[in-house]
Parts: sequence; structure tokens; C-alpha cells
Amino acid sequence: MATETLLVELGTEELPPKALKSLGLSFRDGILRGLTERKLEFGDVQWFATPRRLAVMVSDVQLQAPDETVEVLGPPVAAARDKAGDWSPAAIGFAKKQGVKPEQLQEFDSPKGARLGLRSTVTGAGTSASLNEIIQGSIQQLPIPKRMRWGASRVEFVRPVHWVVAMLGSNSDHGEVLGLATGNTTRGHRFHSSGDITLNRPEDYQSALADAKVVASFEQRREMIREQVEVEASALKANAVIDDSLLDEVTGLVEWPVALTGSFEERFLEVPAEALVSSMKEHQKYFHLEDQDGKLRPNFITIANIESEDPIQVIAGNERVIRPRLSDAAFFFETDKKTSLEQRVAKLESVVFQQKLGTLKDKTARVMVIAAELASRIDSDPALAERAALLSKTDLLTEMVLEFSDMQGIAGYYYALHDGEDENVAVALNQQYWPKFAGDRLPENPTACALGLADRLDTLVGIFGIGQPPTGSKDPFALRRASLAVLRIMVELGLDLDLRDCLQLAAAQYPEGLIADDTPGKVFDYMIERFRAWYEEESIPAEVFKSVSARNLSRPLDIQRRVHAVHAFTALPEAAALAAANKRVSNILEKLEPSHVFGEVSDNLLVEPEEKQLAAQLATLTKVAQGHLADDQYTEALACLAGLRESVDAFFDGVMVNADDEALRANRLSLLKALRDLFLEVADISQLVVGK
Amino acid sequence: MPLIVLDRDGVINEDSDAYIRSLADWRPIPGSIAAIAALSKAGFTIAVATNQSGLSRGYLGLEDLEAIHDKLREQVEEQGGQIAGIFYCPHLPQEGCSCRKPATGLLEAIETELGESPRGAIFIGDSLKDLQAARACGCQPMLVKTGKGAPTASALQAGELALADYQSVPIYDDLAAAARDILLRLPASKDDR
Repeated sequence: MATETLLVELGTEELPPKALKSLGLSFRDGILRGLTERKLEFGDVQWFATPRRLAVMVSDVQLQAPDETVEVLGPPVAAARDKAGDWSPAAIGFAKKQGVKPEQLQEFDSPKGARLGLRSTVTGAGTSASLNEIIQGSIQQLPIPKRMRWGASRVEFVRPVHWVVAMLGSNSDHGEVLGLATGNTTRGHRFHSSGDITLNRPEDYQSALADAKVVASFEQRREMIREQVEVEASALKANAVIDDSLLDEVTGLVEWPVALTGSFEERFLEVPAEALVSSMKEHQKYFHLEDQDGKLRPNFITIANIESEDPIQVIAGNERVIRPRLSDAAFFFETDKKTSLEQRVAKLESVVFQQKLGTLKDKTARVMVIAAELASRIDSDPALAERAALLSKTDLLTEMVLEFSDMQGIAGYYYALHDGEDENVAVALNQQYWPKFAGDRLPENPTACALGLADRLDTLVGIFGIGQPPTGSKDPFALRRASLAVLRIMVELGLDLDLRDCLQLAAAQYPEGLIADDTPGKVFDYMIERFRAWYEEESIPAEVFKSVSARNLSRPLDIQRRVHAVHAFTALPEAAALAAANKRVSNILEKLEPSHVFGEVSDNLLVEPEEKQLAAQLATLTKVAQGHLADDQYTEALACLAGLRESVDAFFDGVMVNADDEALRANRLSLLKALRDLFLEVADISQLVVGK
Repeated sequence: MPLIVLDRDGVINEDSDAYIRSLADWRPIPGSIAAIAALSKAGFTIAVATNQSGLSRGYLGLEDLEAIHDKLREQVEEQGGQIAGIFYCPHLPQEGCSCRKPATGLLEAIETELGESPRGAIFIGDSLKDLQAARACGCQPMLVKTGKGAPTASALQAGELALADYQSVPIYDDLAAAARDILLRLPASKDDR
């Protein structure tokens, strides 16, 4: 079977660096999908992505998909002709649909009897002829935030496309893509190379580009940058801090990486390191350096896209660019320190938190009460939490945060230390915002926990209270993230707080009538729903969470313990049978009159050996289980209850619940009720029965 | 810090006789964004000086102009570079203002605002007006053939333009080509203090 190596390259205007990797991978996947859909087999795959190009090279691509024999079945042979022996309307209709005459139809044996049908051959796709469609299809499915229409072309792409290489072996004539004829000419580095580069065979791609100062492979370039940065750092006996997302972004900015080390004045090191790092990383895409103790060094590493004959000049240029930024940071830091955070509190009145909910001063007053109360509930000092809350938003008024918004919190920490605030208060000013994103670290001190919870609860209750809960696409106050942060802090830090109470506490701080009365309940439901989504991400089955949430609990830590207990329980061999038994019991009990009164199980009324056995075992295990439950050991409690399985099964096999004798029946129902209640102490495991 | 002044229409973006009136009309010339970013990353201060009489003619409003300039800055910043300032003249030719190129007002504003002397700076344009303004302030003019640059280049080479020492003006295909030359040469003389 004839095969060739396939090379596809889109040459573009500089692509968005942060998205480059995902664009490259997606382009590759799209090409492979196009081949697979056409039943074209292929061998090894390589992908390439640089600022100016997305490319894929695939070895051993079949040039022609095999022909396929297709059988289409029509009406039964019995219904093929009418009484006169002429073709029936069904047969004529079928033949017409297939584009043949009825005489061309054949008879086939099928499981449903003899049928008329047609066997035809479908010609396999030719790779060359389909190539432009495959490329176009891949382009259309790229994850592009903003498509741009450009020039006269009707086709939209994230950036203008200037050339398209499509080669199957040496053949590069495969029609048009995005209005450009496919070819075998590419281009090299934007500044190091000029003019077209003709490729004789796809396999020459990487070396031809390397000659033109382009490292085409994203992964290879990424590793080159990492190595170069590490070499530069080791020359200074320092550690380079290589953040993965910065590394990806820089890889997306250069085709020919050249690491250069620059330095800045030592005096800037008095400025909070975070501000310096932010200036270097966010704006200039520099890697920063630390000494062995993690202290910032007055150096940076920049990745040039150009191999300059005079690197000193380039370094000097970069130093000139970063200097004013660092000077700004230093100036803001010095200026800000002249006003204490406490002196700034009054000015919070000038910043609106939310039009209906008042200013940051109003918010501060509410958060102070909530934080102090939460602190006392988690055995932390309420006075510290209150103090931290008082100062919590004041750093928003500093020059530093106005200029470097990602310094919010961090600036507060440094200024609080400078003002001589308690270290716990200073730490809380920064850590109140942790976790900042999914998977981020959690606050490390209790004052920060109290403040972080209070701030978020206040926002959640306030925004829900004025009727602006998040929608699928709109969540301007990041309530989804706030909810998850509250749950994570409570659950992962083991803070056993009642969420319903906390929300009520937050709601009580708003003036009468400002927020709707049912707000705490609504926020609670919303947060429980986030909890469900969280477990879904952890691959804990929905029914496990349902079995716990059916209990209508409101302490997240407690919910967490039960969910994990039930999840562990589902792995036990007894689980399915016991869940089914619970379901059965639940159905039986539900059918009773609401007025039915359950009594104590009476030993005298136990007749059958199976019910005696169940009652006896239940009595014993109840005691053991209660002991575990008293210590919130739900997993152990359920493991112990799993021992009931045989007795329960035997009970249902051997005992008729609906006995004629009213007294026996009532006693049996009471026994089942006791069984069910015991499981319900942990969760409603009848919910584990899936389906129906 | 060495300064590079760029004309906008015909150098950074495609020019139009009907004026660039909105963001929808604004199309960067291939390679120009990358060129600006690369020059900035090499340590040059980048300023734009552009005649925008369309403002006085009522073809576009300040918001339109700012939307275009925001987009330009955004694209350059995405590529890791920065534009230090964009300076425009809103007047009509007949108003006789001091900022419309070939007058030197914009270059003077750049010096005041950015603290960078245009003397010795590189000035890249596509029209005679750009070259004249550049010369008037002691800049080093460069001509690109995009926009109105091709006819300007022919006239310049034929010695038909009112510019002394015209043979010394380098001519490039486009901004990317000019940038290539500047970046790989990195003439030490550019920092002419």
C-alpha cells in the first residue's frame, strides 16, 4: 500500500503566545482526525508550533483509502412484486433512492428473512484530494478566542495566514487552503532569515528551519530555554525560578531562543520581592533569580528571539526598560509607607463595593463582626480577626496596588508589618485571598481563615441578596470561586463550622430590608451545589453525594467525612445488597399511613428465626456503631453495619413483613424502621441504588 | 535610551485614501507588530507620531482613534513589547498648526513627554513629510515601501524630492525589514548622546 510522509504547515502572523501550545496540539489533533475520518492509516506523528507557524508531520500516510463494499437492505423479497409479478412500489422506491433500476437489486439473506438489497463499492478517499478539506477542518476546530476576518478572504482565523505548506512526499499541489495555494515553500526566522525556503521532502522540515534559525518543535524549544536559563543562573550561582506558564509563554514568543542575563540596582531589593517579580514576569517576561535561601537576586534572565552580534547592547536595553518599572515600585513603596493602613480606613468610604451594598467602609464594618465571631468559633483570637478585618481592604488605596493590582494583599502584609501590626494580622491581610484559584494553597493562620471566610460570606450573601446570583456565563464577583474557597477552607483545614449559621450571621450584618429574607437559604443551596460539582471532579459518584445530601446537613466538614465514608462503603462487597435492602425498606415504610406509630421492637413478638437473628445482630451492632458515630467515625460505622448484610438478606428471604397478625406486622415494621434509622445516622444509602 | 519614532498609517498598518476611520478599518501590515515588539525588547523606546486630520474632518472620533491605539498596544504587548507613547496631530493641513508633519511639534511632544531626545533617533516613515520632520529634528530617517512608500522611494531615488542628502536615507521593503537591519546591526552610534 502506497504511503508518503505528510507535512502540513500554516505560516502566520505572530500567534498569541499564551495560546500557542494549545493551538499546536489542537491543529495536530484536527489533522489526525481528518485522516482517521477518511479511514487513512498513518504512522508516527510530530507537531510543531512557533510564533509564526503551526505544523504537523505524519509518517507513512496512506495515499488512498481502501474501497469499501457497502450493503444496503431494502424491502423483503416477499413484498418486492405485486400479484401481477410487477415490481411493487416499495421495490421501485428503494431502487430509485439507491439510484439504480429494480432489476439491479439483489437478494440477501438477513436475520429478518430474505430482503432485496444493493451491494455497491464506495471509492476510498484520495489523500491528496482531501488534504485541503482536512486542513480546513482542523483550522475550523482550533480553540480560538477571537477569530479575525482579514483581507478579502471570507475565512476567519486568529491571525492572518501567509502561506500553507502541504506536502505528501514531494507532491505539494493539493488545491487551496484559506484562499492560498498549497506549496512546498516556507519561511525562516522573522529577522534572521529572508525569502522563501523550498523544501524538497517533508523530512527536511526541521533541519531546513534550523538553518534559517528556527527551532520548530515547541517541546524542544521549551527545553532549550529551560536549559539556557539554568546555565545562565548557575553562572551566577543562583537558582532561576522557572514558572511553567511563563516558560510556555516565552516559548510562544521566540523561534530562536537566546538567554541573556541582566541586572538591576541592588537598592531595589528593599522593595517587596513580589512587586519586583511581578514587574519582571508580567510585563517583561523575565525569569527571576533567587539565592540558596530563596532571596531575590538583583538579576533577571530574558529570552531574546535574536542572536545579536552585540548582546551587551541588548542586555543594556533590557536593563533600561526594567529600571523605570522598578523605580516606580520603589517610589510607591516609600510613599505608601508614610501613611499607615489604619489612617487609610476612613478613605474606604470613597470606594464603592457594590452600588446597593455600599462602600468598602460598610463592607469592612460587616466583615469585622463576622470575622470576630468566626474566630471565636474556631478557637482563635476574635480581637486579631477584627483588627485584620478593619485593615483588610486598606491596601487597595495604596499607590502600589493601584499600579500593580496583583500586589493586593501582599502590599497589605508589608505595610502592616511596617506599621507594627501583629504578625497574625499582617499575614491575614495577604492570606485572606487564598486560595486564589482552583488548587491554590490555603491560608496558614486562623486569623486569615476567619477573615477570608468572613469576607467571602459577606460578598456571597450581599450579591445573592440583591438578586444577582451568578449565571452560566456571568459571575462578576467570582461567587463560584468564593464558594469553593469557603468550602475548601472549612473542609481541608478541618474547621467544623455550620454553613447555614455562618450565612445567617453574614446576612444579619446587612441593614433590615436591604437583602431578601430567603438569602441565606439560597446561598446555602448554591454552595451545596458547588460541593456536588467538586465531588464530581474528584470522581466520587453523584449518588454517593446524594445519599449524604439527602440528610440535609449543613456542616461541610461533616458532609465531607460522610461522603468519604459512603464512598469507601460502596467499595465493600456488601454495599450493593445493603443499598437495595435500604431502598426496599424505604419503599415499604413510605407506603404506610402517615399516622403509623412505630413502637420499640418487642422480643416476644419475634417469631421467625431470621427476624430474631436480625433483631439480635441489630441490637449488638447498634451499640458498636453508635460508639463510632459519637466520634464522627463514619467509615468505621458503615464498615460495622456492613456486617448486617446476611441477616438482612435472610430476613427478606424468610420473613413475610405483611403478616396477617397485626401485632407481628407492626413489630416487623418497627424492626425495619430501626434498621433504616441506623443507616440514616450516616447517610441515606438507599440513594446508592442507581437506575429506575 | 535609544528612541525609534514610527509613522503609523502606511508603516504599522495598511493606509487608505479614505482614511482609517475605525477599528474595523485597521489592519496591521504583516510583520509590523512583531517588528515593534522586537525593537522594544531590544531596548528601544518606541513612539508613534501620526497625522490624524480625519479627526478634524469628522471622519472618526477620539474613541475610534483610541480603540485603534489600544488594539495596537495590546497586540505589541502580547508579543512582549511596549509602545511608550502614541502622539497624533488632529489638525487640518490648512490650519497651519505646529504639530502636523513635516512640522516638528509631535517630535517635540515626544521629547517633553518621554524625556527622549529625537536627535539621533531613528524615524521610520512612508512619506516625504516623515522624512522632512525627521531631518528637521536631527533624527535618522528611514523609508519603508509600504503605504505611500513605493512612489516616495522612486521619487527620492530620482532626486525629485525636497530633501537634502537624500542618498543617505535607507529604504526597506517594510517595517519588519527595517527592524531586521536595525536589530542585527544594532549600530552603536544610535545612542547618540
